[in-house]
Amino acid sequence: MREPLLEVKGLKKRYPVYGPLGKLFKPVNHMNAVCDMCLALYEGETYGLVGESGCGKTTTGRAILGLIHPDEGEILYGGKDLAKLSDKEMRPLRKEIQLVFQDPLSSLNPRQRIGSLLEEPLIIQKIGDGESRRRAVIDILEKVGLAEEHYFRYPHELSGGQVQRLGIARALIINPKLIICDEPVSALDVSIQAQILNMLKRLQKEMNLSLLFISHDIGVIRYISNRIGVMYLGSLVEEAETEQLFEKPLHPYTQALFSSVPDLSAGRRKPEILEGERPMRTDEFMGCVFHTRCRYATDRCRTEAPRMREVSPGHKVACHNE
Amino acid sequence: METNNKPLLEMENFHIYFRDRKKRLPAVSGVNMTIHPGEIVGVVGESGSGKSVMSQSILRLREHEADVEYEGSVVFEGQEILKLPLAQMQSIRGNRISVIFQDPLTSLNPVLTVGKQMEEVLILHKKMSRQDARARSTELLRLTGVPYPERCVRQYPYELSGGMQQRVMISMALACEPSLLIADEPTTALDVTIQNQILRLLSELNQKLGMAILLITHDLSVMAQICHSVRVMYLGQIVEEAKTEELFDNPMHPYTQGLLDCIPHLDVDREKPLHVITGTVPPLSQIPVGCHFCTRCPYATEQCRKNEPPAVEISPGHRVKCWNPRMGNEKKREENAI
Amino acid sequence: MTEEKKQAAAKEQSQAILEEQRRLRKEKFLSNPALIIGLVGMVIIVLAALILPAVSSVDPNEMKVLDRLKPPGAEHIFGTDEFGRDLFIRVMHGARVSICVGGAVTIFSSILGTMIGIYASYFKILDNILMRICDGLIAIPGVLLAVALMAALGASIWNVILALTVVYTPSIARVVRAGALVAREQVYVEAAKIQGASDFRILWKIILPSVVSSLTVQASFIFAQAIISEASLSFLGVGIPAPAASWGNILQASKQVLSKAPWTAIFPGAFVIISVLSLNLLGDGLRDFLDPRVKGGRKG
Repeated sequence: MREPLLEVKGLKKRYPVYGPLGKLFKPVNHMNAVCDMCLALYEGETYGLVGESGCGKTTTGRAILGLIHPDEGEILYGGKDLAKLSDKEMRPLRKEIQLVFQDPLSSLNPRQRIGSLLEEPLIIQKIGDGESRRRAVIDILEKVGLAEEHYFRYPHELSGGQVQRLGIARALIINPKLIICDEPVSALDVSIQAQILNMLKRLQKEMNLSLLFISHDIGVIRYISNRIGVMYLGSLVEEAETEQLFEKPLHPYTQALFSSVPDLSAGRRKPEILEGERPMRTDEFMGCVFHTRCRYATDRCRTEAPRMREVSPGHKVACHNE
Repeated sequence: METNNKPLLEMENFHIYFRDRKKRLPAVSGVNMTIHPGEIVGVVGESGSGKSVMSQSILRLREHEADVEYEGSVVFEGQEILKLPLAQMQSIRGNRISVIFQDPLTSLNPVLTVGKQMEEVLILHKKMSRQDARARSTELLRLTGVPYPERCVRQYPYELSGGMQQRVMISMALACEPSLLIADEPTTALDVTIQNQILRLLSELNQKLGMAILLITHDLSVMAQICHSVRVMYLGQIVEEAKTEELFDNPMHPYTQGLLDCIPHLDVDREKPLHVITGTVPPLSQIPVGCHFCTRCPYATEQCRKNEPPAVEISPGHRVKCWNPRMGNEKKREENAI
Repeated sequence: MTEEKKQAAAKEQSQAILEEQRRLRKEKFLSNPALIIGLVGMVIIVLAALILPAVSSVDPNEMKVLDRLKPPGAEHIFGTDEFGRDLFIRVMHGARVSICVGGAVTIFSSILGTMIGIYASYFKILDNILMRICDGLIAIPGVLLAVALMAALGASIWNVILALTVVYTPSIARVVRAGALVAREQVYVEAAKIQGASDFRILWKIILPSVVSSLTVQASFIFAQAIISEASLSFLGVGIPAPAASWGNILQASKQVLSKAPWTAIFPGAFVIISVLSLNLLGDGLRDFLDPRVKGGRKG
């Protein structure tokens, strides 16, 4: 068995829910944004984390980056538990784990020119001298399909697709091992989205990157990922290799999610409609996360939370009934 | 859908210009569009295609911005909208034509309960009594599939989920039984599973109430689900229009083909790079002469770069604004054959 | 050869981009009338205050009993006061004092206020301590606080500066803190954190530049207020001690002869108004000019 590059074990993050008078009184309840989240990411692979908004996929990504501190659980990377590191201890590890933002423009300081924006990570991590940094910046600009002429531009002078290229360039310039992509293409037009996806895939091969790709778009996730984890209400409900998962989705939620995607190419199957809405996962929430909307739900599903079990090699599902 | 009767909305050679100091930037140039009663028309395009500006101009919502100019004609129920005095326009807004926007939370008043807001609309436009209005708003909420309408009227917008907020928006839009509903990206902010619920609702309302819907979106799959016919917009022009089935089966314009190809469908080959439309949408100040798409079109010829193509009717109801409409399609078929 | 050519071409292109950005900046400046008018007004007053007293041979404190309360005319363009001193030269000397005091107060309170505001925005404990002190100071009316401080310290130009710095630092600190709190929530601050930037770097390299524009705007308003406050203090007799000329002093002296010689109040008063107006226009103009996202010619 290969050693995973990153392993998340039993991650939990809860937020207080206040009554009508806000923070004057003690919270009336807690909302579990992420609960018992486990995932392992291997070197050189792209792991796709798919789920609807509020399912905890972004929270998971932010916990790995140390931007929020989880209440429980371990995040193992290179023999260290990132969940227990202080901001200061985390700093040297920053050059190995980087983030690509959903809205690239807001993640770039509007007062800096592109050259100095890209140089910034190198200066912070004390890599190279002035001349070598400048060369590195021009190299990376070419790699992501921008040009040297952009060196003196400001980010707001670029188009949407170019800004995301710039965002990716900034994440890549310090040669990280792991990149977390948080909905990197969902703010872009379809025609630009395809350009960025192709580029990400090419760069991943060239630089032997490991990607944690977070998205709500099933088509995008399927195209880019080797392995996929489906999240619902703060937990993973199913995990498998891409082909396996699309051939034989086992969890009722995965099935509903896949069939809700309208198919434009072949015969245009009308999407199925999943009724109801996502409940709130408070501390009292019991049973399977999906039981409120699942059409196969039994009494057992309503009381006992199913564990993740491996049904075939690499294919794990958390469901009582198969 | 039978569409032989008189059109509800007719746009003819409609232009919208933004004034940027000395220059006049054409946001919409020469759009012709007809919407018949009870029809769901979809307009699809990327950002910068002018689709939202066009739909807002039907209500003249941009009037207060002095830098907008209109040309051409927009006739709604026999009235020329562009020349109506503003007072009369206001009686059309929200009454004969309603709008729902992408983000329901920003279009709902945060400090009033849902019920209060709906009653206001009914009292203002329908001259109902407070009591009738209250009963009617509960009824409307039930119509849009809100599970507990009696509770919902007492709630504030922020207490509702995104899907519920959009349902509330729709029921408010329905309050005056409009003959046209403009839905500007109504599902973009919602999750897929909720998106499908809302789309089904729109389609049901269309059948039940016979209300025409103009659906603006960037998402082709949303179009495919409920629209009767689709217009594809690029840089202020309609480049292709057809019945929905026809458009997806037989796209003729290279831009439509490109759009369809670059979506990562569930059956796309993961080992191959995705199809891309090269380049980006040029800014309004740099619209090319000739065909607007010529800078990104893989099949562009000298003619495309010089002269603007006319909209040719290829088969009944299927119009394409392209000099060589078949070429792309044949090429694709060849590819498929190999 | 080709490599050289390519480099030359790239260099040329970046030159062109810098050129274009310079042109856009110029356009942005020229399409901002508030900034231009404010700047021109201030430059004229500052130059006049610096040059005229230096080149003029007239002593601002020289009394000529025969020339008492002369109306404006060819000999004394602003007229004279009740001691027969030339009002024009006194107003110019007063401008010197006012601008020195205003400038010094602005600089000192900006430096202090920025330090307080930035640290308060980033560290919660400091926030509570520093901001409560600032709240307390803001609660006391500015002039009253200054009068009290002046009474304790004694009248001198340095004490005026000190007292007004104490009065205006909290308002700068508030503005900087508010700006910094907004900046702290920006995604690009998070991005810097992900790159491994230290707190110190984030505070001074990312947050500070993003509050500079609101700081500059606030500073120009403080400048204006400091001029008024200095005049008020002097008018109340606790500011710059007589016989040194300051706008407040001159106004105070004019009080007794206002009905006979209104010009003794009009001219210094007009200068206070013009300089304050210029500074306020300057502040408004700067706000638009310093925001990189506001394009030339258009607001918002």
